[in-house]
Amino acid sequence: MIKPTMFWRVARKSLMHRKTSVLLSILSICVSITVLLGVEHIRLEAKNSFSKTVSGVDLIIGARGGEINLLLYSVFRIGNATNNLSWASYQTINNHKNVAWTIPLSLGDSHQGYRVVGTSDGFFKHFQYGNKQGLNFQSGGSFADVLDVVLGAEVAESLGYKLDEQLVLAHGISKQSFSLHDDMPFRVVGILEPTGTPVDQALYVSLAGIEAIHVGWQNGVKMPGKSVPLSSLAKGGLTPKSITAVMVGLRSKMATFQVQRTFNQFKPEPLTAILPGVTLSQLWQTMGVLENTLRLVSFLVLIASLLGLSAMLLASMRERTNELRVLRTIGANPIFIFGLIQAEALLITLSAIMLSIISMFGLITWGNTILGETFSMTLGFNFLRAESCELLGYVIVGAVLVSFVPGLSAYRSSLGKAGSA
Amino acid sequence: MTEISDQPALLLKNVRYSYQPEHAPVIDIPLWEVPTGTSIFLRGASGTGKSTLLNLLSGMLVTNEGNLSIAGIELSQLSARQRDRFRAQHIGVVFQQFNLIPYLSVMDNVLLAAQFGSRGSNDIRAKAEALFSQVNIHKDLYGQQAQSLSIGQQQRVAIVRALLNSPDILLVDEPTSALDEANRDAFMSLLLKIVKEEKASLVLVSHDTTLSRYFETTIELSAINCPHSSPQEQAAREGRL
Ligand SMILES: Nc1ncnc2c1ncn2[C@@H]1O[C@H](COP(=O)(O)OP(=O)(O)OP(=O)(O)O)[C@@H](O)[C@H]1O
Ligand SMILES: [Mg+2]
Repeated sequence: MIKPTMFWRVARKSLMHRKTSVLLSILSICVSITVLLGVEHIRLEAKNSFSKTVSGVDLIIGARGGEINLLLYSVFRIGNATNNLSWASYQTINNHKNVAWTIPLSLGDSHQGYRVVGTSDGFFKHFQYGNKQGLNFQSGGSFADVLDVVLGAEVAESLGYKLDEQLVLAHGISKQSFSLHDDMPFRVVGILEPTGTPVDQALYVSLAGIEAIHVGWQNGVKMPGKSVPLSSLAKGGLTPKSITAVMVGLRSKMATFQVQRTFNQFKPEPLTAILPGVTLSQLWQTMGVLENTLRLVSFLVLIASLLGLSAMLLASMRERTNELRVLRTIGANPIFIFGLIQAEALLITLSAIMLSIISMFGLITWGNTILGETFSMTLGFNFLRAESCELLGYVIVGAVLVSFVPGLSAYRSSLGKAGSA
Repeated sequence: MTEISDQPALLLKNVRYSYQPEHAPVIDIPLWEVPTGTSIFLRGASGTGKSTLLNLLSGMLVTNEGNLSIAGIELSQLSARQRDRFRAQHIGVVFQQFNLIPYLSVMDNVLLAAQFGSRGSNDIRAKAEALFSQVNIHKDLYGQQAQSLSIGQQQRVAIVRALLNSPDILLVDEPTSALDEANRDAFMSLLLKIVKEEKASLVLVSHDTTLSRYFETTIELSAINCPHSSPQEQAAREGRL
């Protein structure tokens, strides 16, 4: 019987014989597989890095409001809190018997479009991201003075700040803010290592620093003449009246739900307490429609290109009548001919898969230079995980299925075809 | 093999074939026998069913009725698969043109046919080279794509391919119509010489009367094929047999 090496040689040479149309088919399938792999990869990478933006924080508490909104402004620094939480409430939370540590957050100012976060030393000690990784300084350290600022990695990188440089914060979060706190410049005392999370995109000052720059401000407007000289600001006198939110670490994880309930039913002030992990996955699910639409579109693109493959093979049957007849006369049975068409479809698909794997490496490398510049996050090269391999499996099965059409056509014509040369 | 070589190369009895059942048969052969080892020229005008007959003989088409045996094997008794296998092993076919797979090399064309005939590859390559040198196909051409050869060269490669599996019978359909006078002459002499050496039987069909000078036996297709005989004649014939 026919040797496998001979069988595959025939299939390969037959394809090379029709280079142009075969190459176009390979490219068309390659593009759609790359789209499919790319969408899947970005989806999983995004989900992965998304779920790792915060870890080790048991509860986030803010003024009463939407849970997702609270997560968005406290962790992602997107949007604004509708209300603040009073300093007294913060004290109560901090002194709760089950609370191990707290990170107060005071938001509302910015610098060149990057958010300024008023917080405490605890932020650098307790905040974790990824797989319980803590924050580290690439240079300098935590703020010691009222007008000290610590920069996230991306802020330092893109604005080119070095230690000891001075910068001025702006009131509000718009990039074009004209109300500058220019009477009180801050000094860079530390720069954090990159984390690939929103931590990189903010500036950190002490709560006292936030208070200091707002002395003499009312309703977001600087009152002329009311600015207070720095020398008169004793550190103790700068206790905030309110903060935006607080991240909480508990002594015992067992108490999480109980503490959450306590603060959700807090009498003195309406509060909302969320479990970051739970709310993160809720937030991810709200993006499910987008995610599914992308996947659907890439699937449709793939189906279109597989149908294109089928059409190309079917069209080639016409010019191959003689060839098929020769095969039949030398003793090829219709199964061989059917198998040959299938093998050709398979070779085209496998070449397309290989090509798109190579393209993925290229695209990720290229994408990372851009992503790295703007978001200080990068995509991994691990796009061939189980899910993607499963998808590639479906692609191969799909190719085999659609080439049943040309395969059967060749099979049938070779059954009845009498050579009449 | 010895057992079947006693049989006639071809034996047809009451073979009838029509492309559409409602149409009159194209082929209706009451009796035709070709003894083993003979070379026969079957002449017929265009459209009289020569190619159809060759396709029946090679098992590419299946008779509607009657008995058709090749080297003692009744083709209608074989399954489609067995027929394909039988064709690969026992029958060599050469057409007017388009005998080769255009994108395969000369050698691959020949070896592919050998593999369908289940012949071992070591001695088959040697045999192919021997046959190639007999038909003046130079070594340099072995690796070339079949489509790059001239029509005459392709026809000669087709003979090698058809004879490589040592078929009992070689069926040749208008092999020379694409060749010029000189090439035709060379081709015919070569074909008959090589068929004799290989001890195969040969049936060559053509409309071209001049080919008869290469053969001892020439048969008019109309003499054995009577597709337009009336039902009465057929009944009489069947009663006689
Ligand atoms: N595939 C087919 N379907 C239907 N009818 C066919 C088919 N092939 C041939 N015929 C008919 O059968 C008859 C014999 O055709 P065939 O090709 O056998 O003739 P031929 O003797 O080989 O002619 P030529 O010398 O021109 O090659 C013709 O009338 C033709 O129309
Ligand atoms: Mg013909």
